[in-house]
Amino acid sequence: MSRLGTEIDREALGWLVRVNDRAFAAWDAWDRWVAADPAHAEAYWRLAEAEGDAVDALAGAWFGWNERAQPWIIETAPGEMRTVTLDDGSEVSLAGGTRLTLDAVRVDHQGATETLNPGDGAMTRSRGIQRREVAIEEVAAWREGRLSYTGETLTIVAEDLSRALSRPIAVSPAVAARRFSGSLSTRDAPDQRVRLARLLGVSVVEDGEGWRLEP
Amino acid sequence: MDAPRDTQAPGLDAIFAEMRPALVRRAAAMGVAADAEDVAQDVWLKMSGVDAPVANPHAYLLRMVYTAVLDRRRGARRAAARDATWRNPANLAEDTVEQADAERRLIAVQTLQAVEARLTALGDPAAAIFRRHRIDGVTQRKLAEEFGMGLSTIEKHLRRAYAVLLDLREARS
Repeated sequence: MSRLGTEIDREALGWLVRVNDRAFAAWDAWDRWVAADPAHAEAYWRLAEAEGDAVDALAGAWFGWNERAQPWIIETAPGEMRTVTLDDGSEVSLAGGTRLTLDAVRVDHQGATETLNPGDGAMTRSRGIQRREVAIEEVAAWREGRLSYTGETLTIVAEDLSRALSRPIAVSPAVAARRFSGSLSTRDAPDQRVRLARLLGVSVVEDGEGWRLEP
Repeated sequence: MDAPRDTQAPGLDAIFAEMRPALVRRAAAMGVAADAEDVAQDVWLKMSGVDAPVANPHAYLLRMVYTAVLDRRRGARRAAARDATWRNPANLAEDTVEQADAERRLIAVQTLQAVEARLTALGDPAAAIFRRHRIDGVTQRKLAEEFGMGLSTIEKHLRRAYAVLLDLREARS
C-alpha cells in the first residue's frame, strides 16, 4: 500500500520514533544515517512532516472568546514551555517565545498571526496557529458538565452559572450586555473563579454574598 | 542580576556561541541551506531566555535546530501546496483568500477526524502510548514504566501508530 513498504522507509520510521523522544541524544548517528543516501533524507523528512501534521491536528485545542472581552494575554519566555488548561478541559501548549492575545481577536505565535472573528476558533499547536470554525454545539455535545453559548449576554450566562455552581453570581450593569461565545465548565474547581474571569473577559470578584462579574 | 546561575559551568549562551558554526552546518545539511543562518538565529532567540538547567546542552541545541528545520520544511511544503492551488485557474474563485481560509479550516478538521479514526481503529495500548508520548510529551523510558513494558515494546507500538497515521496521508494525497 504505502511508501512504508520499502526498507528505507522502515528505517526512517525507526529513526523518527527515536528522534521524537525528548531523551534522544544520538544526533551524530542520526545525521550519518540521513546523510548516507539522499533517499534516506527524502524518506525521513517526508515521514517526519506527515507525522508532525498528524500530531498537530491531534493536539489542536479549541477556545471561544467573548466579543468584547478585555485582552487575555498569555506569554511565555523564550524556551519556556507552558500548558494552559482551558475551561473545557482542553489544553493549549505554548512553545517558548509565544504571545497569545485574545481580544477581538488576534493570536500571535512566533511571528505568525491570525485574526479571528466571532464564531471562529483558533487551534494553537506546538508549531503554529490554525484558524477554524468553533462548532460550539458540537464541542458541548462531546462532554458533560458544561454550558455552551453562541453570542449570549453575560446576564443570561451568569444566571445559568448561578444555578450550575449553586452560588449567587451578579453582573455589573457595565458588562451585562456583553456577549459570550464559548463553553464553560461547571465542574467545581478550586480555580473556577480565575478560569471564568479569563474566559468571560471580566473580573470575577467575591463580594461577600457571592460572585460579581465586573469590567 | 548575576545571581548564582553557575551550577553548570559554561552557560547555554557560551555553548551556543561555540557550537554556532556547527549548528549552521547541521541546519544546512538538513536541507534548508538557504535558511541555515536564520535557523541558528531562531535557536538563539528561543534559548536566550532559558534559565532552567539543561542536562545535555549539545543534544538540547541540536534538537532545537532539528525542530526549527522541521518547522520550516513543513511551512514550505504548505506554502507550495497553497501556491499550486492558486495557480490553477480552475481553483480561482472570486474571493480566493476567504476560500483558502475555509479550505484550510476544513482540512484541519478533516485531518483531526481522520487521525482520531485511525487511532481508534488501531486501539490500545498503541494509541494510548502514542498520545502519551506525542501529545503529553512523556518520554519512552517513562512510558515503559507506566505501561509495564520494555522499551523496545514501547517503540514497536509507536512504530505501529506512526505507520497508520502516515498511511493516512498517503490516502489523502
